[in-house]
Amino acid sequence: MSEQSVVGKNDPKNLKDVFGMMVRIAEADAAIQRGLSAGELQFQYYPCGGQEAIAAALSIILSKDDYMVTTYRGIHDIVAKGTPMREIMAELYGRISGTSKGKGGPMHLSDPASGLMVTTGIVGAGIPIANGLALAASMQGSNRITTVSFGDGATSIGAFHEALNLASLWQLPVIFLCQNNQYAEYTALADYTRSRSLAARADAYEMPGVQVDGNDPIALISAFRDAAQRARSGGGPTLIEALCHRLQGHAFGSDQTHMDQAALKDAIAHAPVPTFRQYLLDEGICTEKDLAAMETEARQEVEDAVDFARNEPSPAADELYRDVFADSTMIPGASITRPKPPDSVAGEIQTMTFCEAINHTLDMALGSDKRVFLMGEDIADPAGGVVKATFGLSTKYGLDRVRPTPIAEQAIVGAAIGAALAGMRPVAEIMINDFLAVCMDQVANHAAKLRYMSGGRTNVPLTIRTLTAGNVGSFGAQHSQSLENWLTHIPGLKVVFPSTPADAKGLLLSCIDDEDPCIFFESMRIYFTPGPVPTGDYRIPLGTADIKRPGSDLSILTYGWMVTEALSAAEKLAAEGIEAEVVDLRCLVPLDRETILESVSRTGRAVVAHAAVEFCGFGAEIAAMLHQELHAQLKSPVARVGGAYTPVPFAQSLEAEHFPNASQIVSAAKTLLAD
Amino acid sequence: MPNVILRMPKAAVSMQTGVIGQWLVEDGACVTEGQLIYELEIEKTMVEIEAPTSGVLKQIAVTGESYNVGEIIGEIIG
Repeated sequence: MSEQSVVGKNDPKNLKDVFGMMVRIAEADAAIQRGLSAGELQFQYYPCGGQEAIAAALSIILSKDDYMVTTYRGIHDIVAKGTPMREIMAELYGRISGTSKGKGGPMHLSDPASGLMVTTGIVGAGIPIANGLALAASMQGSNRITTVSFGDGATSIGAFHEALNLASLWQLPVIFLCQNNQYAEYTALADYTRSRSLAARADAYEMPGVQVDGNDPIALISAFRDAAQRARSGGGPTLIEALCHRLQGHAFGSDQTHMDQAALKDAIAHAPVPTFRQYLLDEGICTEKDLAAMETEARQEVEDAVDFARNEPSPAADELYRDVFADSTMIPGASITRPKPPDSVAGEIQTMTFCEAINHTLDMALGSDKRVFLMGEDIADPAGGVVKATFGLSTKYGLDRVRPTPIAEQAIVGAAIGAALAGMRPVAEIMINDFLAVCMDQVANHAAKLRYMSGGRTNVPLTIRTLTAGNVGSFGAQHSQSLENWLTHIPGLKVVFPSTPADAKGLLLSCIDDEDPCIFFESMRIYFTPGPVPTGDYRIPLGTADIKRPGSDLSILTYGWMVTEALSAAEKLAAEGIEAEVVDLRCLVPLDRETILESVSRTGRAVVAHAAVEFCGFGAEIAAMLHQELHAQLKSPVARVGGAYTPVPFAQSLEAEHFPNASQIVSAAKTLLAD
Repeated sequence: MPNVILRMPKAAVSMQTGVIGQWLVEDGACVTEGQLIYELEIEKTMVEIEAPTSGVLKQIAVTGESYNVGEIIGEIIG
């Protein structure tokens, strides 16, 4: 026991409870490794030996309502947060009665009933999400705090720094718990950083940073108590570095040659469980009989859980598509006729630009639903967003609900995910869609997958608005792409790409209402183009395409700003006696297969047009679908018109060559009709 | 203690097969849970595998031979 062991001696029940939790953790960890040794279980497992005291001490401080986020080396955190042992083991055996119906597994186990909201398999990625859980609790006026546990290796990753900065800026009720076990996977601390104290990194963010002996439950309880009290009383976050030592290799079966053998031997000699056991005996806090009883009970609990798990059924095949979205008919292959939006909507019609329609819609959403809030770079007044899309909203609704952020996309999306998990309806702005690249882990590995990985027990009702600034003649390669296909390829994300101010309103409101993460694309090319917008409250159901112009000779299937080019092409074709139908997909996921197939089966010819690079673009998916479904009815092969296979060039002469236009659509259409 | 079948464990991400380097306990001898019972050779490294339970070890796999992950290599009779 270290010098920090000055409190808690008068509270023997706490210490006994900590030991009880430590042996439950150790038994669970040992049982999993027994299963792996026998070859009965076969997965990568990251044992927690050497870190048992940290989670056990934390369990004394946190309540069931407090949120926890942990990482793949997290069995100790999972057990200590209160996840039922049977459900843990059933999940590891891939059973339907596991915490996540067997869909998460050891690296993605969550149990919202006990406050365990996320276990991530991506180093450092839980840290920004914890901010969102804490932000939601604070906006909801609850006393909940959030703890996020991560290894020392995670302090090297950008998400850690972005998240600490934001948590400090917003004074969020978070405990950042770095369990420093001296190794980032196979690399020793001294080989990946010159920092001698990881806790000292808190100084850079004006946050208290504390180093504590991670083998000493009494010191840990004290540190956690201080941090929890600070968080609950509005004092903001704390970074705690719990110093411990990993007692085995990185994963089950890993050799230990990368570890300092003398340090490992010493750590095993001072392992937290036997050391604390001896302390409790020496101090007269527990008798041998007390301790043996706790050990027997823990062993029995774990053996019962393993027996339970072995005998439970695996998930049936019909679980495969369940929990991708709230509604399984939203997956792209599903064949369903969706309700069409009402023809007439309430309220007078006003002329608004696309940008004004976004502002008007966000205003309406903020005004009608307290769960809705906005976050993004520069979105507050006086800037009101880089293109003024959010102008006036922070003045009207306050900075609590219209939150300007640091330039930190991982922190923005992570916080939005966490807030969505906790029942809020965040609308995050990623200024330009090219910047999705810097937060793609949060979008693709977390927002998209948390529902599925939790077996439907959590969900992420998050909207991300993002702008493509292509074909406006000034942005060049890093602000002008159309990256919707990155997102359509990730199951779990809805992808919406409107072409008119009125559609933008009805679709954005649907996204905000939706129970799943929606990525909402806006186009600079048409951002300041006016159109009629009903001022009443109306929704356009996701997955409903719209025939923007009827025609009988061919179908032009398109979305986003390319709809304007398609309509222009249709006019040119009409002048030559060719009637083109323009189908605006509006949503790529969910996809309105019915409207597309109905149109093309009628016309027998199709051109798919989009601004995104043609190679591997969404048009390929549509073309494949049409050839498969309408093979006999097609009068000619489906044509594709998309961006050239180049980065978007700056010079206008080249940019105009890169992006498709009405003339190219006309040429493609004529080629089809000549077949 | 119930009998526990020993299968070739998956002890590394890329592991498809493993070779028993050497049994550390004789066939028919008693082992206790946690005791090292054999050396497993994978990807040019050697790791030692612990007994998942206590009992009498029945060796099935032959030293130096390669076995697929999941293949039966022995049993501990509880």
